[in-house]
Amino acid sequence: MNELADLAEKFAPGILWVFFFVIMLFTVAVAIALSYHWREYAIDARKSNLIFRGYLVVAGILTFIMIMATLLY
Amino acid sequence: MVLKAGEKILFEVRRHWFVVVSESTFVLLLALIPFFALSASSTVHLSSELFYIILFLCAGWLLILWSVFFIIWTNYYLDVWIVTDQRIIDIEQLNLFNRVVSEFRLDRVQDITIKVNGLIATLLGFGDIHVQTAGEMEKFLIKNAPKPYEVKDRIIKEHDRAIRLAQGRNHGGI
Repeated sequence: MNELADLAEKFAPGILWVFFFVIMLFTVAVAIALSYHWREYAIDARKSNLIFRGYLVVAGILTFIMIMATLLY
Repeated sequence: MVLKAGEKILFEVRRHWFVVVSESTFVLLLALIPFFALSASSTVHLSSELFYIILFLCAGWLLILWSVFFIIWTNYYLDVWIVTDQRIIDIEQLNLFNRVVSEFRLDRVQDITIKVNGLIATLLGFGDIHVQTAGEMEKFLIKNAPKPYEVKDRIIKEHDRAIRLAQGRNHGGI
């Protein structure tokens, strides 16, 4: 357990931020690609907006948890 | 997708839900890992720093998996047959950047074949629908469509209606 605690101390917040930005980069790229698809190819614009918003809401909640965990660390 | 003037969408055919569930099973299993990690961390006495690192990694892991799942869902949802009162539009979403769109007129439908393969497909009621069109060698296929016999009957009904309409127009023109 102490080893784990030592490992945690070694984890500088800087590294967490780097992880955060890499994951954000991936998520933003996916969101742009998905947004294009849902806008261009969906048949029902209202339904597709709703589905894509669902993706953004969940992604937003998880991003918020990541930011809070980094700030509270 | 742009419909012609006066064209109406009758119904859409997507692959059966079992397909999207089976494609995303691995992602769903991977998504369980953070919950195990968080429940394990709550039973062991951890420092707050370690807890926040675990929380951060769990949220990041779930965010990546959520995006992967949504890509699978998008490929599933946008891969569709749209049956209108004039034609069938076959949109094949192979992956996010690979897409084939073809269409054929309802009155050109010549032959429809249903193929239900295996125990799960039989129990859950899904199968492949092949449509052969007149004058072309190409066959249109939608894999793992739900209620394939019902879809076939509806297409045949619409095909008959399209033929009657075409004949009516021809007679009217003479």
